[in-house]
Amino acid sequence: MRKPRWLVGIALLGVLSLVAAACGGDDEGGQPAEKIDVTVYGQGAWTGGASGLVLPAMQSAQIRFDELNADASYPATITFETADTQGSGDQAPPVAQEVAGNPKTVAVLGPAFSGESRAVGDTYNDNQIPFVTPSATAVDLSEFGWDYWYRAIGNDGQQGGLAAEYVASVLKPKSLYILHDTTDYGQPLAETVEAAAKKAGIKIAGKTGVSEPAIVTGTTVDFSSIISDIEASGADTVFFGGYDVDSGPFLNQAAAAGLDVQVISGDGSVSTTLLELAGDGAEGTLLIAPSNIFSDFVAKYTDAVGADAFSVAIYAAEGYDVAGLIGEGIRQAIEGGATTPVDIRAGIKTYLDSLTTDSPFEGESKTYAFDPQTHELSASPNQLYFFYEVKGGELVNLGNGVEVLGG
Amino acid sequence: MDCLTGVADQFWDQTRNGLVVGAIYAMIALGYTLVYGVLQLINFAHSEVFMVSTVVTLHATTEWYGVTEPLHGVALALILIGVLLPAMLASGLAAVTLERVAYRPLRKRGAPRLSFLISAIGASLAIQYLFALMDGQHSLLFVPLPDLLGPSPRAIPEIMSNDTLFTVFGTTITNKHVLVIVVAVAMLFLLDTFVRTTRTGRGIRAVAQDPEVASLMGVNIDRVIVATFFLGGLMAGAAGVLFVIRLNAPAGFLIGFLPGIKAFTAAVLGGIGNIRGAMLGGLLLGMFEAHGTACIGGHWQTLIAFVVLVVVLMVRPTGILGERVRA
Repeated sequence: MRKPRWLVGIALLGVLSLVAAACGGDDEGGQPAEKIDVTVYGQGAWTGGASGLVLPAMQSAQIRFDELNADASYPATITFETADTQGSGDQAPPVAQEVAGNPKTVAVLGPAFSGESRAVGDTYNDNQIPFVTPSATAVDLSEFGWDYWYRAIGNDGQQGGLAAEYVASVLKPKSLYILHDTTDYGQPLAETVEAAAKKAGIKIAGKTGVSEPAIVTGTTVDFSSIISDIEASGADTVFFGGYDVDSGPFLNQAAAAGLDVQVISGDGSVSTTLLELAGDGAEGTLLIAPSNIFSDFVAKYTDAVGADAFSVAIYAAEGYDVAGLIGEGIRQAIEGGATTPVDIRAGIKTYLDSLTTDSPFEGESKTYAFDPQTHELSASPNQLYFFYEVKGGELVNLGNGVEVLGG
Repeated sequence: MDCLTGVADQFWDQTRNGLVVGAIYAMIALGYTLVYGVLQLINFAHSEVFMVSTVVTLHATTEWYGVTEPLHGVALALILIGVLLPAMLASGLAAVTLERVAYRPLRKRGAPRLSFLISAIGASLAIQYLFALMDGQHSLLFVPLPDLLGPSPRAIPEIMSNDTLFTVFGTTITNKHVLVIVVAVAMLFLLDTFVRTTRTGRGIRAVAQDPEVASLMGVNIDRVIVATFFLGGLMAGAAGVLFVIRLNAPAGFLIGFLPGIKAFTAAVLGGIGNIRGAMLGGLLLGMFEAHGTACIGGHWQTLIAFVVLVVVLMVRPTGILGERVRA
């Protein structure tokens, strides 16, 4: 039986009215009738051995995004999604594809590590997605020409130089042994320290790398042969360039072997994981990081996160601030007329580019203004770095670069 | 630092280091060599058999016995036995299960060698990633997986304090060094004796020589193969406990990967299929790595190990001691 024509007519009318209703919703621009749905991805080691270095930042970012979402006058609803790479550059590309393929993506908080940044930077830059890192410190990241990349902390060139300056002016060792994990974070950092230390006239007793670091293989390294080498070299100070999953066991095994050296390490070692893996061996270790783990924000972090909070809140304040930067960028983009995620991405970039030392973003850990060429922070390195010592199983604040080294 | 002076200065220290590390490699290598001798199969999943024992060690020390401080004397001995036995059993059972699930069906069907290899690699990855999910946050087909490994890293407590026991040739020997060497030597000696004197051991040697003739002579092939896997698993289990105690290593699903590759290298170096070859290969590999560090630096360790392997194989393709399950 053929359908009667009048039935078809009613069906058409129904469809047309539905379409009209859908189209008629947002005809008044400027009025925040509906919050725009946007997604921000946090890329880094949400799981895996290196998560102690990344989760505090992600948890703090979530705090900030929750605050913004709860604010009735904020013109967007931000969904903070997980882009879990376990910190590995090998696992990052498919994750980045997923991020870039999501039409609601407006920005990436991260990538947390330098290796994964190198792996996916081109993907985000080509897709014009702003990616702001709260923790990736490798110097060469600013040299790829990524317009959409911003670094919210100091870099390893500064870190290595400051560590060497600390060793030369405060520790004044007889000789220094350089140890690194052969990764593209740890080795350049250790070599920067080596070069700066040589220039300062410190004797380099030896230098070696770990051929299969735990950060790459997932297996704890047996440092016994390296420990014997350090002992034979007669060094009284060791700089370790690498991550907590390697520096922790190194400190533990060195203490067990009775090796009496002062160990100083960089931001990759500043985490709860280091204290857990090193045990008593961590006592007296000196650490430097571009993150203030004793800032006022940390109390807020511990309260908000509760039982899951990390005792060493590395990059927590920075994660909160980067979320704040992205959040403010979204707000300004929408107020400037952006309605689609693609436009919001451009708006966020415009906002980040607009920050200068005269009109910076006021964050919890510091103020943020990015250099127009490099997209690094425009601030003196001494202000960006903080020194810690492990005492009684906890990290103790020694002060920032200005307080410890002057300048 | 000059290579020769470096090696000379640190000779006894690095020899001690190499022997201790090598003993652990040797124990794991036995699993590879035994299975190869009997099945001509490289059991790539043996690294996960090792991993199982580290997980048992973690749970035994933290949950069953609640160790929080280093122990001494009788208490320490009891705890060590109480950790070694379950861990070794768990690894042995894991190896036997592996054989039953991943290799026996292929054997019964007369599958080509390649299928065994693929099954081995697949089993290795499957077990690794199954354990990766056991962090208390995942379920498999609606069955929640037990929380074995989460949240990482799960370090084990310090079970024994590091006391220097004596000094020889200027090298300090601590109780952990002694533990590793004593347990390793005991295990290796027991295995060697077992294969040499017992009936099952004879069966293993017979099957390794010629499976068809062995079955004609009344050897139950299936049982011999299960025994082989079980023995290899026991060795890997002991190695796992020693590895974790020595390094305070946190348990993780990838912990077996690197020791597995190195042990396999050691087995090939010494002569794959040859029990004494596996022991020798393990000790030699440990020594090359340790002295290599003194010579040109730790970052060359892996390179040195593999260059040595290649050179040895070019000169003696069946490895240093040759290819038979000799005892």
